[in-house]
Amino acid sequence: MLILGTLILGPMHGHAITKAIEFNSDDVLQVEQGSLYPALHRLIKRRWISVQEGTSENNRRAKFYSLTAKGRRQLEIETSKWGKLTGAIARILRPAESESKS
Amino acid sequence: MSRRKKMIEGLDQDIREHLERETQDNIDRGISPAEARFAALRKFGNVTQAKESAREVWSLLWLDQLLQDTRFGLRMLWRTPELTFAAVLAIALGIGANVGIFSVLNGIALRLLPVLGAEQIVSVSQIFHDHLTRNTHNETSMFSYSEYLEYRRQSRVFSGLLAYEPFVDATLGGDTVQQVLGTVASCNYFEVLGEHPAQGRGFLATDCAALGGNTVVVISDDLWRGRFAADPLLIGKRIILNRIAYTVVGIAHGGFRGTEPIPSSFWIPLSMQKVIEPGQNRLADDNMSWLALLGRVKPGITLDQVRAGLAVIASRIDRLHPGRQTSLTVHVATFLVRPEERAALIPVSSVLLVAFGLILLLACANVANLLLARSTVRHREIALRQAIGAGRGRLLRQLLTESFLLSLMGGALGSVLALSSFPTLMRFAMAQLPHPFPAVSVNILPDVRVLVYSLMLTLATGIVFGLVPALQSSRPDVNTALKEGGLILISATRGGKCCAIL
Repeated sequence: MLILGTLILGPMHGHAITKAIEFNSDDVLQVEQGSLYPALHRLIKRRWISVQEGTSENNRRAKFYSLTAKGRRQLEIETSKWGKLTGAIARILRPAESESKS
Repeated sequence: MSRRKKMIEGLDQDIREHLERETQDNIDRGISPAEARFAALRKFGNVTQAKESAREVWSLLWLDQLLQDTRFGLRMLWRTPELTFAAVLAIALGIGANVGIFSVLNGIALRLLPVLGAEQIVSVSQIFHDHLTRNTHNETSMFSYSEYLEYRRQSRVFSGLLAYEPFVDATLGGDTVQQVLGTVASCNYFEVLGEHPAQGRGFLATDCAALGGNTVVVISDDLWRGRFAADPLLIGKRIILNRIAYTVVGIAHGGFRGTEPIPSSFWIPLSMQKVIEPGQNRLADDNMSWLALLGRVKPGITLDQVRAGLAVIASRIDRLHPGRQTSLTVHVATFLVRPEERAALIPVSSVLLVAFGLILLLACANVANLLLARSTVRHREIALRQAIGAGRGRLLRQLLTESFLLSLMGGALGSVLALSSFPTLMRFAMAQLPHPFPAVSVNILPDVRVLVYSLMLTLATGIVFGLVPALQSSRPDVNTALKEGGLILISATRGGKCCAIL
C-alpha cells in the first residue's frame, strides 16, 4: 500500500520510491530496501503498477514504475480499509483517554 | 519473451543500479567511497534473499508441483520393478495392437494418394437412383467412356480429369509366363497425377489417337526389378501382354503403384482397351460403368464448388436419357474411393477397432488390478501424507501422474513395437492368401494421424486404469490406516495462547 501511495505522485524508479517513503514519513518508516523489489514484482504481477524504461535525473537509464488504473482503484480500497481500521482503534482508545483525564 | 522471463532477467540489473544510486547518495552526504558502499549494502539487507523473493513471485506453482510429482512417480515405479514391468508390458501390447490396426486402416482409407499435391486430387463417382439397366464392370459407380468425355469437356473446375480402368488382367509372355494386373488409363493419367515416370516418358497425345494402334506401355518399378531384373536398356524393348507386343516407353517411380490398394504392374492407353481385353469393347458402350475418374481441382476452388459444377453436368447427361437419375459423390482421393467400397469399410473397421479396443480394455483392467493391489501396501505412506495436510486433490494428482507415466511408457513401447512389426505381420498375412489373390499394398508408415491416435489412446488408457485406484487410495481415512499400519498417533496440544496483536 505504501508503494502505491507513493506512486500516486507520479512515476518513479525503485531507489526514488524508498527515498520518498523515508522522506514523507519523516524517517519514522525505515524501509528495508531489499524488500522493495519482491513487493514491486508482486504489484506488477497483479497489474497494479506498470514498468517502463526511462532515464533518471542524472541521465542514467532506470526502470520507472507507475500506477495503473487498477492500481489506483486498489489504493483507494486499501486507503479506506486502513482509515476504517485506524478510526476503529482511535474510537476504542478515546474512552480510555477520557478515563485517564478525568 | 514472456512477461515472467522479462521481469526475472531485469532483476539483477535493477538491484545493482539501486545499490549504485544509494552508494552515490552516501558519497554525496560526505561518507568515504569505501564506507558508502558498505552502508548501502547494509541498508539494503540480504541481496540474495531479495532476489529469491522477487523471483518466487513469478514461479509457476503448478509446474513445480508437476515436476515434483513426476520425479516422485518415477522413483516409486523404479522401486517396484515387477509391477512397473508387468504394467508397461500389458499396456504396450494393448496400445500396440490398436495403433497397428489403426495404421492399417489409415493406410487404406484415410491417407491421401502418394502424389504431389494430393489434397487437390478428388475422386468422382456416380450413384444411380433409377431402375434402368446398366452394364457394370468392377463397380456401378464408375463411368462410361462417353460420360467421361462429357465431364472432361464441360467441367470448369478441374485443371485435368483422368479416367482409368483398374484390375486389368493380363498374361505377360516370354520365357516364363506370368499373370499381372494393370491399368488402362487415359492419356493425361501421369500428367494430371503429376507422377511422371522415373525413366522414359508417360503417354503422348499421339499414343492415344488411333484405336487399337498404340502399342505402348509404362511398367511399374516392381515389375521392372522383379521380372526384368532392372534391365537398364528395357526402354524401347517390347513386352508381350495377352499375346500382343507393346513397346516399353516408361518405367514408373518406385513408390508409385497406381491409385488402388492392389498394385498395378503396367499402364496402357485407353485406346488399347479392346486389344488388352479381347471380346470386350467397352469404349463403344455408352451404358457401361467401367472407368474410375480422378480430377485435379484448380487452385482456389472449394470442394463444394466442384460438387456444384459437376452436378450441373450430371443433370445435363440425365436429361439426355429418359428416366435416368444420378447423383455424384466427390471427395478427396484416397486409396478407397468408390462409395461401395467405403460403405463396406465402416462396418469392417468398426468391428476391428472395437475388437482391438477390447484387448486394450482388458490390459487396462489388469493394470488397474495391479495398482489396486499395490495401493494397500502404500496405505501408510498416503495416510501419513494426509496427516501432514496433503489435500485430496493434490494426492489424486500425484497418483494420476504415476498412472500417466506408466501409460506413456507403455504407449511409447507399444507404438514402436507395432510400427516396426506390423509391416512384417501384414506381409505374412498376405502370403497366406490363396494364390490367385493379388497382394494388397498398404502404406502403414506412421503419419500425423497415427501418432495423434496413439497419444490420445495413451492418455485415455492412463485415466481408465489409473482413476479408480487413485480415487480409492486417496480416500480420507487417516486414523484407521495409521492404526492398521502399526503407528500410534499422539496429538499434542500447545499450551498457552497466542500473543496479542496490539
